[in-house]
Amino acid sequence: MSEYIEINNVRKVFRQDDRETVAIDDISLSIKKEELVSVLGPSGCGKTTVLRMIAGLTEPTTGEIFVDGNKVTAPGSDRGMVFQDFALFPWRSVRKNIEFGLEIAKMPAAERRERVDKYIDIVGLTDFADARVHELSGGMKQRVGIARAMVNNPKVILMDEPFGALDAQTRNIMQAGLVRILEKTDQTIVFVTHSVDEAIFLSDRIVILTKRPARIKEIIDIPWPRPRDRASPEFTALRKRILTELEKENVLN
Amino acid sequence: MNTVTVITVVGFLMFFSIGTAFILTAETEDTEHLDVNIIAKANINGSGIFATPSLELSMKPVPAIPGDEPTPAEIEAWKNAWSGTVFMTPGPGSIQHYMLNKFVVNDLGLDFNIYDNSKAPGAVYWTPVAPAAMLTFFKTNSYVDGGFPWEPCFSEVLIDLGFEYSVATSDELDEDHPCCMVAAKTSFLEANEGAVLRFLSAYVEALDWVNDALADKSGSDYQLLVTIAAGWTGKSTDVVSLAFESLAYMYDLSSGSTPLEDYAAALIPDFEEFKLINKHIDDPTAFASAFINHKYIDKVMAEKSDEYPSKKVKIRVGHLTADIHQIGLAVGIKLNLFDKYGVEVITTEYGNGPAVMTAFGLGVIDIGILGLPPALYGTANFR
Amino acid sequence: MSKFKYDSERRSHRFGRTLLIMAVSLVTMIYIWWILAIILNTPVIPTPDLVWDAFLNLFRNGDPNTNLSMWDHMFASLKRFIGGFILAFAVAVPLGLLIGYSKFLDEFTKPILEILKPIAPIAWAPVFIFATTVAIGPILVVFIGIFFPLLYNTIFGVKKMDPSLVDASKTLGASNGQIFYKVMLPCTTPFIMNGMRIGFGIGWMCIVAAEMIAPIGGGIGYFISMQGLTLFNWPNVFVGLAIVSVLGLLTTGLADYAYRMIAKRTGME
Repeated sequence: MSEYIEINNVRKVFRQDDRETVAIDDISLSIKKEELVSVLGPSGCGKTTVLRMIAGLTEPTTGEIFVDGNKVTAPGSDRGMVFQDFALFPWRSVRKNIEFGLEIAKMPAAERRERVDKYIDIVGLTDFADARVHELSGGMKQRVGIARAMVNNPKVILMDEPFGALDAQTRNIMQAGLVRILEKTDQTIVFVTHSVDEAIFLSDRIVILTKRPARIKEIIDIPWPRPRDRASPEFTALRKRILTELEKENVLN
Repeated sequence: MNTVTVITVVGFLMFFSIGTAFILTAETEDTEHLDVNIIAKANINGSGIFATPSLELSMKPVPAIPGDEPTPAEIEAWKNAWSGTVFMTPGPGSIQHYMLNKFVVNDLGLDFNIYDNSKAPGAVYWTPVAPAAMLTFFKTNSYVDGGFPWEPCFSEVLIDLGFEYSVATSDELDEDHPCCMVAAKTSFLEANEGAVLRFLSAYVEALDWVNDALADKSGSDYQLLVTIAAGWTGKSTDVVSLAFESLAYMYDLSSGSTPLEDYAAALIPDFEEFKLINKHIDDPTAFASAFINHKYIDKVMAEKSDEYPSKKVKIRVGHLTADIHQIGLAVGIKLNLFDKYGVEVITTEYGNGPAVMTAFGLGVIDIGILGLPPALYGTANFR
Repeated sequence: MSKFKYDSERRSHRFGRTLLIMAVSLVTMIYIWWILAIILNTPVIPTPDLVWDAFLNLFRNGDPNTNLSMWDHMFASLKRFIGGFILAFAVAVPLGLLIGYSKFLDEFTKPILEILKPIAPIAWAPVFIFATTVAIGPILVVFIGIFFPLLYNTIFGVKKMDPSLVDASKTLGASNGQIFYKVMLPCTTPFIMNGMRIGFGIGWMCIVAAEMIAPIGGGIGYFISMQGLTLFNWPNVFVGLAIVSVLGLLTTGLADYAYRMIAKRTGME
């Protein structure tokens, strides 16, 4: 596996009314192809900013980001994104939401339909293909969001607390579902979350950030096979360790 | 059913039964909300039709040999010349509009329609424009072929554009037709007889002075009259001098060959036909006699009210904007004749006769000087 | 005969109930009018039967004072109304989208718009009519009436747009043009429709008022003004008032229906 996403000495400073806030202070990170990396950290530490910089929605103040050897300068369809608040188009049906990216890419209608059908099937929404967004439950909405990001077949999928707005039970179902979906695809995923449990359940590696200004505090490899058992001793032990680390950050705040 | 429903239903039933009984039994007697009487004349004649000369319009078909009967072809050509033309009038309800309407329908046998972006043959079209604005409107709107303003606006048009624009003066259409009238609210007349007599005394003295001045064009009074008229109307002395030629001032309600009552009574069926009067008047003669009140002007002509009380009486007078027909009012004010008779006149200008009638209706004027038609049909419709 | 029982679950029952209440309400209004007309006993407020006679007469024989039919009057007003609306739509919607999109334009146009907004559209009528012509003036008055609600609703719509929708479409590869057509426009459509709905109501007030001043080629406002202020034909005035009410109801009803359809379709209720 090669170094696929390359984050080199990235620093992000927000300026407002002559006041500078350093959100991210010198982060360097390499992510391999087909890897799932979670970014964990105290609230407001700048996890989402890291993700938005990879997407090209936010520009780093200094430093560079490369995806597959190309420098990131603007958003592009090679980096799909899933949002915490779903960000679905309410005037479009489930099918038309998923189709949006292909429409933009001007793919012929027949091909588009076939491809959309496949992803509707993958996320298990075949019965709701023509439903309107406001008719769906929160979990179903995020499945549309995931399918919409994946249908373009991007190299990278950036997930910004995708299950943060869901209740605990739906969350677990969605996490298991995501694991199943990932088996069928080969995308590289950067996953921002504030749930330690979720990070351990899903990730190949967990990157823990410090409180603001964010730096990388620790990177933890999780070479366990999936699906993982949340009740296993090593799972609970790791969870306890990470929680303690994060608590230290919060106390120091 | 609960109590509220029962009460609501019973309430509705009671309301509708009482209401129906009330509507069916109510006596619709006429109360007099607005009643206006004519108390003096102001002028006769004094309006004119102008049009683009190239149209070659005339009021009668012109035979090839003067004095001969016109041939059917000549009559046809005469009608064709008028057909599809657009004329500005002061609006429905003005004497000018009424005269043109009558001429177009009765003499030409054409329709008289409002202009609606079409000049299809078979009709003469009208568009309402205030006389004072007609000259400018004529110059800036090429679809307009002519207009029918009152004086001095007619004279102003002729001096500005040339005399070839004149088609006819209003007395060629209807010889010595009555025009402006002095009208007063009936309730005011009844309660303020002394004030009315004093107002009319000043008014009669003013018009006598005007007629004397007009009789001697070289006299200094004529010069003064022209100056007053130019100031009153905002037109040049040339315009007002020309305007004086085409009208005559008189206050006597009994003057003229046709009694004013007969003239007004004859207008009533016409106005009903033209839908200016919207309620049928069974006895036009009786209506006209009650409408025209000789009592005050006759009294003043026999003996001017010379009370000259030290305490002045205020009278609110409505008149038309820049109308030379109403010069008596201007002269009375300028020569302090109202002062002399102990009257303080508070004047208000209105754009047309119907607006003066509206002012009567609103109770903001006591006396108004306006055309006979709006006074007549307005009084009928307000009854 | 079985006893009728109202069942709120049934559509036909609900509809019948609404219809019945509406009928009783309208009849009540006419009754109150009739009784007031008799009590006040002035020709200025005619009884409903006189107005009904005038209505039949006007629709059978046309307006006798202009030789136009009542349909001509209505059509003349509608034409001006639609002209003003199209003009307002063509200016307010693109301008609103731009102002909502650009902070600079928002700040730049705000003082101008804030100064102009409180001026009643009808107050512009004499200025517009004399500055342009009687043919265009009334259309401009309607334009002003519809312009402001439409503009402010469009701006509001753009500002209320969820910024993550723009982010999402960017990560799906959309260009600025595509974002405009495929995201901004559908997002603001319900707000534009709402602006239209409000503007239509104001537009009718404007057209009637403007026609009272500019009397070329008929129009329902001209009809009312002439019958009321020149001819003192009160039953005809009431017929004119009823026509304005019906035309206003029809156009605002249409806009309301379109608004609800679009809001429902776009899931933005």
